Formats: sequence, C-alpha cells, structure tokens
Amino acid sequence: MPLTKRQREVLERLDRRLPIKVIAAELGVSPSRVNQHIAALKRLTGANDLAELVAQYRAGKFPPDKPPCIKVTWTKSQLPECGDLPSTAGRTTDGEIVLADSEPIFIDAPWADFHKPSLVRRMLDGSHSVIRRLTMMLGLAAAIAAAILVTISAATELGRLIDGVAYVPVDSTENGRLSPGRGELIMSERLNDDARFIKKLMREAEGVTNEAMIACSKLKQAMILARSLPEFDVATGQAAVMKLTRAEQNFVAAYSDLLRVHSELSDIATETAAMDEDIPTKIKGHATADDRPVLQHA
Amino acid sequence: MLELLLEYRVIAQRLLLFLVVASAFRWGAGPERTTGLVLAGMLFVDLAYHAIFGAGVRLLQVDVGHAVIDLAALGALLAIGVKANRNYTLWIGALQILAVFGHVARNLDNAMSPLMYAVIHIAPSYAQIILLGVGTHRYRRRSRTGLKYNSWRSSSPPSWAKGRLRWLGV
Repeated sequence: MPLTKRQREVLERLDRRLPIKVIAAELGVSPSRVNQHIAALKRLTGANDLAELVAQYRAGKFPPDKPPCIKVTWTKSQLPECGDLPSTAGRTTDGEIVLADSEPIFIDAPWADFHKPSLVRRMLDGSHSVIRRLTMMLGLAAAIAAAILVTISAATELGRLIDGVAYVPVDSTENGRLSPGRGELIMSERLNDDARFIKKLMREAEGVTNEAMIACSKLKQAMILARSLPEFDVATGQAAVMKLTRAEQNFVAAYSDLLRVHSELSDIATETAAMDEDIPTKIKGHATADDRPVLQHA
Repeated sequence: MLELLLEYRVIAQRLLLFLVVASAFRWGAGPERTTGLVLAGMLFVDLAYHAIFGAGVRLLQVDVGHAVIDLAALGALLAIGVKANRNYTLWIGALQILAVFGHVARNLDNAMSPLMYAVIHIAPSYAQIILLGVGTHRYRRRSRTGLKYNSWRSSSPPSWAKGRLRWLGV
C-alpha cells in the first residue's frame, strides 16, 4: 500500500505518541492539515481510531518504499539490495525516561571539542586555578625574598670574615671630588655634587673654629707669660684674661653647635642616600650633650 | 663596565623598557601586550608623580606615591597572572608582590636600612622588564614553529556532565 512522504512522516510520529500539535510544529504545517493526513490514512487502512492505525503500522502493513536504486551491471548476491536495513529512528521522545538494558554514555572524542594546548601546568589551569595561581605567585615571592636574604647575609658574613684580612681600597677625596662608589646607588649626579660641596664647607667651618680656639689659647699663653715678669703686678690684666677665657669658651660652644650641624647633615645624607665617604659620620653623644658652655655662670 | 651601567641605569632601564614593550606589541599576543602596557604605565605615572610632587625618593619612611603606584600595578599584574596562559606572568606578579611587601616592611620596621628598601622596591622592576622580554621572545619562537596557543586560560575541560546534558538536549 503506497503512502505519500507526508503520510509516512505523520504515521511515524503518531507511533511515537506525539500530540497532533507537536507533529504539526515538527512538520511545519497546521494541525488541521495533520488531521487531514490522519483522515486520509484512516480511509486507506480502514482503521477506526489512531490506536488501530498505529497497530497496523507496527505490524508492518506499510513497508518503506524502496528507494530508487542505481542499476549496476554487476551485483553482489551476498549483500541485500538497498533499503532493507531496519529503521534506526528512536521510539522515545527527547527527554523521556525509559527503562533500558543499556546506558548510553557520551564521551567527548579528543578531536570533537578541540582545545588549543595549555602552556601552564595542568594544576594551574583547571578548576580552582585562580586560588592556585595566587598561591603560586605568593610562593614565588617568598622564594625570591628568601634568596635575596640569603645572598645578602652571606655577603655580609663574608665581608666580616674578610675584614682585617683583606684590604679593600676606598679612594675618597681626590681633588675634592669623590670617585663613584657604592653609596651612589640611588642618587642623581646633581645631588651628589651638592652633598660634596656642603661637606667641604662644613669642614671649612669646623677648621676656622678650631683655628680661633688655637688663636685664643696662644694669646692667653702669651699674656700670662708676659705678666709673670717681676716688673708687673700679680693681678695685671686678670680681667682681660677672664674675658679672653669667656671668648674661648664661646668658640668651644660654637664648635659643639657645628658638630650638631654635621650630625644632622649626615642623617640627611643617609636619608637621601648621598655619600658620606660611604660611612655616615657618627658624632658621639657627649660631644654635643652640653648645651651651654660651663663658664656661662662664671 | 659595571660602574658605567650603574651610572646610566635609569636611562638604560627606560631604553630597555621601550624596546621590550615595543617588541611585545609587535610580536606578542594578549598577555605580552597587557603586561607591557602595565609596565609602561607604571613608568609614565611615576614620571608624572615626580613632575607634580618634585623629584626624590624617600627611603627613611614609606614612599606613599610609589607605594600607591606599586599597589595599583599589583592588582593589574595579579589579574594577568591569574588569567594568562603563560608562565612568566606568574613570576612578574610574584616580583610585584615583593615590591609591595617592601613598602609594608618599611612601614612596620623603622630600622630597615634605606639601601635595602631601595633594592626591594626598585630592583623588581628591572627583573620584570627582563622577564617580559624573555617571555615575548619565547612566545615568538613557539609561534614560529606553527604551534598555536591560547592567550588566556581556557575554562575547565568539557566534563562528563556536559556531555550528558547535551544528550538530554538541554
């Protein structure tokens, strides 16, 4: 009994127990058109209802049409002619849960969903990769820090061991200029020049004060030697000597102030990493502790 | 030679940075370009900072301006390190962590030597530039052999559950 293509399609879906509206949607026609197909099928088969129609279909009353085969000049008798293979169309709708004796498991073939290869290790590229990578970075930072620490402490220890055994020449002032050395690591050249100039002036101020103190004490020596002659009264020029001593004390106080200035400049040099002969000048506390000269009250 | 390099290290660093960033944009892919952008951006923001607030690096207290720049760069470099399909970005991120920790340590420990502070927050930038250069070179060498790599990390590989869902028509 020959069926049209549409009739066969409708019948196949009826067999899958699809509602008429769904059949119409799948075939892209209206439900009434599907009903017309069903009426034609009933007429053809003499079936009274859909269940009878489907039963006849399952009984194989409508064998599929043999598709037109290309006639070849040779045949292989052991193979069936085309079209006799059983239909592979499933009888369950999508999503329907049925009891089955087999469980289809879909495994992606390696080539089905092609991924470009990953450069990083698998551990850093799957799930939890954010937390793992952050941990990795923290670990690397710790390792770098540890390496720096070990290097520096080893260098320091080596330096301590070599100290006193080997002599490392540090050429300092040479025509008033310092040759570039370790201290310059984080300095601009301009800043270094300024530092050297300030240091030179500092030295000059200290030198002048020292000379003033020497001059005062020489004067005092000369005056005291002069009055020790028998021609003079013992008290001659005592007031002048006292005034001279006060002047000398003031110079000593001025020198202390200069030392404080030097100390502060040295701190600034360390802060801005300017070089101070590679070693910051340490002014000992007692040199600058007394604020005013002793003879202030005298 | 070493003293010469030390004397001109600022110029040398900028020149190297320019070359490395240019080659990253010419031959690199996403991660190389983004990292180059961050490193160059750090330099420009730093220059602007010095132009606005005056020159000089503070070493006895926390250098707030540089700490802020380093912190912002840390955010960007960590994000790159987390997302990129590269190994060297992890090292660059680690070095940035070190620089930021330098500022923190300066704040916590007043006895820290100024030289140490300078080394720990300035030296990483040199290493980062070199790492970016090496990373770009290696990427270029790999891509020349015809192998194609993703720039950024892929999501997790397709799972059993995904195949199951596809079968169910979801």
